[in-house]
Amino acid sequence: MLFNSFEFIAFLTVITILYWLTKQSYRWILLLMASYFFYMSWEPTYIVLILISTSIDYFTCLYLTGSKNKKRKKIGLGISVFLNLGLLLTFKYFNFFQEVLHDTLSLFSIQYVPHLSDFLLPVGISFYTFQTISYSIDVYRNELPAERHFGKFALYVSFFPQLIAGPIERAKGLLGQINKPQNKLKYIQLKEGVTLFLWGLFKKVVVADNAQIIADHFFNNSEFQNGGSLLFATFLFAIQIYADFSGYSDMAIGTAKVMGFELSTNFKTPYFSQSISEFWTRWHVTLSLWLKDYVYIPLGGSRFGKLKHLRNLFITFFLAGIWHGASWNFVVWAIFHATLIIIEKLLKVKKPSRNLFFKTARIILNFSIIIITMMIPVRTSNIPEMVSVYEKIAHLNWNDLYFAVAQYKYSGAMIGIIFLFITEVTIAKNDILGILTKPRYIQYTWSISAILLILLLGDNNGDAFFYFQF
Amino acid sequence: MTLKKITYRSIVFIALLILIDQIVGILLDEKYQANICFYSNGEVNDYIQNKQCDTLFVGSSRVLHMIDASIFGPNSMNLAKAQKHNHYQTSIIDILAQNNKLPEKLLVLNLEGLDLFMENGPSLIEQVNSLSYYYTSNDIVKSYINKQGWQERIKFLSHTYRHNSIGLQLFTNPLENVCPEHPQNGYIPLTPTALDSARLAKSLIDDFTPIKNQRFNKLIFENIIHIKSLCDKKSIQLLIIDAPYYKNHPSFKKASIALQKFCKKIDVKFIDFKYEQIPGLENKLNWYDNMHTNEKGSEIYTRFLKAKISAIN
Repeated sequence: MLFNSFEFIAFLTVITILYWLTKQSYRWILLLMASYFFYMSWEPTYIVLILISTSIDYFTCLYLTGSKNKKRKKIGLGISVFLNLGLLLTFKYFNFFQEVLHDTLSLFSIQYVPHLSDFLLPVGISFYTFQTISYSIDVYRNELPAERHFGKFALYVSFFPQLIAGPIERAKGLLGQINKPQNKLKYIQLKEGVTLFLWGLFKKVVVADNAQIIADHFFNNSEFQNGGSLLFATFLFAIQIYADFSGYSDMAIGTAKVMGFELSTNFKTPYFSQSISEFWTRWHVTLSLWLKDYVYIPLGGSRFGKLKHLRNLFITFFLAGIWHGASWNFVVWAIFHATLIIIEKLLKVKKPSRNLFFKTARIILNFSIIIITMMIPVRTSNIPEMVSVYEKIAHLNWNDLYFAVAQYKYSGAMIGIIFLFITEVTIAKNDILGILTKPRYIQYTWSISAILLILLLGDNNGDAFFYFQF
Repeated sequence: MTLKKITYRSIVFIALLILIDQIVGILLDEKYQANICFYSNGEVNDYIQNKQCDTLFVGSSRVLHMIDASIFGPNSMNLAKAQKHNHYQTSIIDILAQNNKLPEKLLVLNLEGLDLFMENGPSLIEQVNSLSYYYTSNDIVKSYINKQGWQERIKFLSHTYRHNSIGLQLFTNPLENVCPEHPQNGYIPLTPTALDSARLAKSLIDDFTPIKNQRFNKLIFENIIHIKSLCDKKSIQLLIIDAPYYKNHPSFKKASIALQKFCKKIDVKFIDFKYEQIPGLENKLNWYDNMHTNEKGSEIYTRFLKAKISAIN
């Protein structure tokens, strides 16, 4: 059941009405049932994985709270992290490890036939395992008491608005809200929730899906394309994944809001960052914070000298890259970004500039770096294809680029991108809810325009979200 | 804010939305009807409003780029559309019948053998969505669209939605003064290029993925019966063909036998050119890729097709 489907809108409407009609103390039951139903609509058998992950962390954390022996607590935490990562590695990285083994052994002329598994990647596994690991670590650090109510804890792990593709929520925030649900729905929350959902839907079906059609057209036959077309396709792919993933996050936050829950912000117009370090504080924010709190700081952060600081940065950003996917292309992307972060540190790249000229120049430069170092590795399917795309773009003929842009200048994707830019940068000033502070005629004009553009330009085939594969 | 105020504001918003949706929808209807350029189904409009023919070819890109209707004479027309298969073709034929625009003598329908193995999912039934302008006026279009789920009935409460995905060009192309002409006989040749052999080699790999689903799509057989009944009503001859490939997929045979049997049963002529020896088409220089001949190959194929049709008659 995709967020951009009528089935989901009907499901959400029914659940929201039932939620507010149900007695406060029983609401968790309704939400837990709805969450499991939602997840099982993808692949029923994989609910077992969520139940395993839930049970491991529930019981381990009860043990961690009860035990005063530091060594035993460490072992308990180790088991929890090991089992959760084990699930993730098995389902997400098993085939990649086989490929790595095959490639490595073939370097020594040793023949090895990879034993590839034909498991489908369970949707959302990268998100909910990170969520449960953070819970175990917080309990271990005594920053949070273990949740004693199994049902409510199970709801924290499987809360349907953010189960499939985040935001990755911490137990402190979400479990607290599950334990103390809001009494009544506030009008402003309903309005904000609907606005976020509408905006997320627009980004997905108008911008992302239309940009995808053009980007796929060029990338699916990249061997027959010129550098100009491929650069244009890469730009569109950058827009596609931003609109797709931030659209999903907006819809998730909006969905939670209509039931009185507040989820974390996950995107802050990331392409307007002035450095790669800043980009990672504005793109998939909850993942960056997770890595900071549970990888970077435990490794020592910046506390043990320059060399170790750089090593810690490299490891953290390398993990951020390969978290996204299991292939050599993601490894390349991870190395690119980890290296860029280190270069920025060494060059002491200054804080964001306020001077309009320098600000614009830095935004354009940074966006170009992101296009080259992130989008091409992510969009191409293997290293030879990636290298070939780089080669073609390096020998770019500007006329080819002009021709590619001119061909699609009035496409649905372009109209969508313009509306996206006007909305996020000029009207809403980086926060879509800013629309609601504008005069009513602007709110009405914007909402009706967004709905009409969805009706006219929206891809009605219900394409899945790009980030589901992560 | 009071419940009364919230209700009032919601009603005003919905009323405004409905009003603007109707205005935009009506505007798009007018633009659609006036369009005879080669985009947003303008070629269908052009045919319905301005043309008539004796022999009509309907199919996908394997008709659009492979059958040069001019070889059949000035009263022949190719009304094929790339990447549109049997359900779309059936809808187009039904729309033509509704407008009294079926050909006077012969309707040639290219039916892809592999369509028989396709489920009514994205690859087949959703292709009809580009004809959604006819949702309220054509029952076949409506039934295909409604088959996609209960939500379609709700979506079509919006007038603007009838122009989803094709409506934008109705505004932007006139702005740019763009009006590509549909070729006189509808045929669009694929000019040979240096990339043809590489493309052919790639498609020989891409096109040969095994087909998991080997069950036949019953709706396609129903479509053929429907088309036959439309032709019978007007005493038009119906010929079903399947154009040649450079190399055949192993699953073609099963589909071909089934189609032969079915067509014989309902008394419709069927020629499967995939299993005909067409002199010249064994040469890969006459191919654009595995499933499309280039301009030279199309001339060879069309002349062969013409001879076959003459032999039948």
